[in-house]
Amino acid sequence: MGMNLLIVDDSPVMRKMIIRTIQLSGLEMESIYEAGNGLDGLELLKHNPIDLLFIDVNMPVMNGLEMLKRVRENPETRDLAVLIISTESHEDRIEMINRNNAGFVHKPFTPEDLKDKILDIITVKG
Amino acid sequence: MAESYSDQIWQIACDTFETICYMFPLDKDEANTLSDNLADMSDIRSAITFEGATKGMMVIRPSYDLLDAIAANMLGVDEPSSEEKEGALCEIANIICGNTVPLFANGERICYLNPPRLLTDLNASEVNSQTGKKESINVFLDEGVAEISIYYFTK
Repeated sequence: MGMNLLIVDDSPVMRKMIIRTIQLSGLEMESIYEAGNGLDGLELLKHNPIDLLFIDVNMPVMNGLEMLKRVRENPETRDLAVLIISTESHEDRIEMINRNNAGFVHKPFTPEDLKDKILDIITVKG
Repeated sequence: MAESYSDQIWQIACDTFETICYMFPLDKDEANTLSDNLADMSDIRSAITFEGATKGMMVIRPSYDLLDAIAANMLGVDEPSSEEKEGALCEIANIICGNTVPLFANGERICYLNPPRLLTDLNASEVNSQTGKKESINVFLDEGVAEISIYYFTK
C-alpha cells in the first residue's frame, strides 16, 4: 500500500517534478494532494489522511517555515513526517528545520536522493 | 590553482541539467564548433534576483530547442505547454542561482532568492541596467545551449 502525500509548493512545475521523481524512485504512492502555499496546505492537511508532507520554503501567503511551525504546534499533526525542499541551505534555516524535527532535501536531487530522504524520515517517524 | 567563478558556475549548471533534466554537456571540442552559432536563441529568459551576503541578478536564456527539452525531460511529457516550458525554465534558474550565489558571498550562505520571473523583450532593459561585476557562460548540451549571466556585488 502506498503513501498519501501532500506537496506544498507555489510552482506547479516543481510539484509535477517531485511527483515524477518519486515515481522514478520506485516508491509507491496512494494519493497525492497539492497546494500552492502554506495556508492552503494546512487546510488540506485538516481534511485528508497524509503520511508525508513536502514543503517548499519560499512561497507567497504563508511560507514553508511558518507552515512547518504550525504543523508542529497542532497535536493532530505534530508527529507527521515532513521534508523541506529548497535550493537555499543557510545554517539558520537548517537549524530551524532540525529543531522542528523535519528532513531537508537540497535541490537539485535525483530519484535516489529523494528515496533515501523519504525512507529516512518515514523510518524515524515509524 | 583555484577554479574561476566561470568554471564553477558552469559545473553547477551542468550538474543541475544532468540531475533534473538528464542532459549532459558537450565536450569542449564539440562546444567550440558550436560557439559561433548562437542564432537560435529563445526570446524567453528567466531572471532571479538575490540579496543578503551578496546581491545581484542571474539571467538564463536557452535556445528554442533547449527550452522545449528542459520541460519535456523535467516533467516527462512529449509536448510541454507554454506554461510548462516557462515554469521549467524558472525552476532551472532557481536551482542554478541558489547553488551559485554562495560563491560570491565569501563563504557565508545567507543569501535570499526572490521568486524567478520571465523576462521578455519588453522588460529586458532591466538586465542592461545591471551594474556590479558580471560572469557569463554558455552551456552546450546535446539538446541546445543556455546562456547564463550573473551580475553581483560583494561586500
